[in-house]
Amino acid sequence: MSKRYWILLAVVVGIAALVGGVVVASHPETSSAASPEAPAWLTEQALAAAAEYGDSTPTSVSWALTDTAAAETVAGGSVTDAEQEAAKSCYVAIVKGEFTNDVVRGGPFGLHSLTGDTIEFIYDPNTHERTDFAFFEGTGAVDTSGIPNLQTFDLSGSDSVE
Amino acid sequence: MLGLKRLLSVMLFGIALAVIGGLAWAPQASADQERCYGTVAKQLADKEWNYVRTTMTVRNGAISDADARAKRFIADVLWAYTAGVFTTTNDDNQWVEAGYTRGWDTDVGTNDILTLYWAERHYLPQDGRYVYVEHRISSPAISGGDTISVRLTHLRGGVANSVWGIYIEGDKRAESDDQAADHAHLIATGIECTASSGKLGNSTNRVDNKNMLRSQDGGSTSNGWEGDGLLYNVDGVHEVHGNWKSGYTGEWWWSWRNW
Repeated sequence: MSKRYWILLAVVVGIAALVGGVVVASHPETSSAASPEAPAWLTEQALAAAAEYGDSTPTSVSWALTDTAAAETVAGGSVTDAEQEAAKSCYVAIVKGEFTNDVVRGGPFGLHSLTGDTIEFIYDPNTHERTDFAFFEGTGAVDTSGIPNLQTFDLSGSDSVE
Repeated sequence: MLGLKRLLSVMLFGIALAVIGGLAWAPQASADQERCYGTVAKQLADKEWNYVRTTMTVRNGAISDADARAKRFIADVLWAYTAGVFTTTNDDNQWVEAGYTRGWDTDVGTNDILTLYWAERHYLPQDGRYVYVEHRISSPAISGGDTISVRLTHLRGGVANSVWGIYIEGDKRAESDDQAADHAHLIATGIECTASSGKLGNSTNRVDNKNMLRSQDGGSTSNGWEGDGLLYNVDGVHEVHGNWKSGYTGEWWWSWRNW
């Protein structure tokens, strides 16, 4: 290898590093430092609940601080009457994995055990109690576009915005 | 020497007794699928059933901490099915339900939570699959002895996109959309129980859902079920019996368990 080759390689690497730095700096939302962190209780409860439904190592946990009207769009737009229970602030956690639900309040005919890949939990931000629960049967996509600022909790330890 | 042998023998006998006793008193594992029902139900193919109402009395009797920790529950429920038939194996069932339950899972603590709730199973066209959803109704808080009016009513829409209203004490509390039909294929009310300590139990702790009404399609309310249900288990083994007095012919009661 000639000395000229090494100089050329160093220049190319330097330019690549400079361009990469500019790109990252112009997209701050990809930085975990810019994202709010999920409350510890939320991730703990979501992961514990996931384990109770058969998957202690879910593939992902998404979360947002939103309102009940937005959170309920995920399970099909069932909305609470505005006059009775106006849209309230809530935390939502959407967990993906391999789940089984044996404890469903089934119909009078005893819905058999369900399997699915997604569970949505809605929590009261003050009491931290779960108020709503949605079990998505089978596998496939779940439309979460109704929840703004849904963030994925990286199970390795950092958050990022979807 | 003889005394030492005797002492050792007594000790071994004691240990054996302790082991046997411990095994006998150890908590018995319960089946995951314990579930029983005691309901009165009506199934029709016509389109009359677009409104159903009942009053239910909240019964006393907490479930055990062990049941609560295991997510077992007891619920007094009104169901309206918008799709499906009377079978335990129909994956196409869709329904809306409301009532009260003991054992609501809050993820916080292990207390026996008594609360109103409603639930639904429906098809999500945007996702191409079914979802089962439970919603807590936090207010009003309820307690034993309260009488609650629960109503399920078709509000708008037709096949595959009908919307049903959930009413508590005459107030609409929620809407369930993407339901399968503008009428109920069947209606039912009664107890669903998975708690091994569930108090279906005795003559003072029974289903008491009355005045179950439905309306003619587009017309006024008519035809009532003046039921006085008695559902109980026998000797703690979860045998469910029902006995209804009827003011309207054609309905039937149903009990079932899968363990």
